[in-house]
Amino acid sequence: MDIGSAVGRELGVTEEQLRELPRYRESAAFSEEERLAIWLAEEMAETPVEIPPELSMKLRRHFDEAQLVELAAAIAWENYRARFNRVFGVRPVGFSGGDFCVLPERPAGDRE
Amino acid sequence: MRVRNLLAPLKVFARTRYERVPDLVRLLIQRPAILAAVGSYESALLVSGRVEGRIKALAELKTSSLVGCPF
Repeated sequence: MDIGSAVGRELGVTEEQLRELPRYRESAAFSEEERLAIWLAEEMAETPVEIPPELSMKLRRHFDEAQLVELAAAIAWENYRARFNRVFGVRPVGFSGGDFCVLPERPAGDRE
Repeated sequence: MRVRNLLAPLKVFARTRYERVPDLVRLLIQRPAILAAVGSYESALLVSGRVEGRIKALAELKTSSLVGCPF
């Protein structure tokens, strides 16, 4: 989250988007493509991973297959990185330098 | 677009103090084949520019916030 927030800023993620990430579904801060990519990330963080047909259909409407491969590969890799880091307690080192940093969320299954 | 994707992490690393970053290097260097594979995969993602970097960054941020990775 620390390095992700900092790199995201460099890539054009706005401060508002960082703050609104937990409520991306109803927030006006995101484009349709951004919302779909975040939704996919949310589903891929679940166990078991089950992509709803509605999401699949919308993803294919907005991204071609090569783009979907790249997006799924990036999200799968972030799962690898994040889970690996958790084993060793790798801590943030201040990449965000005091700027707003995205906060942990509870998985969807725990949110009721 | 791809150049921007490549430069973004470099810019962030360049302005950051490295007190804890060696943790990751120290861990992976113990299994050099895995370190090399991780480097290859990370590089491949950085040079893949079919999806806007901003969109991938948002998806990755959502993932790390759900998995609970503070790094």
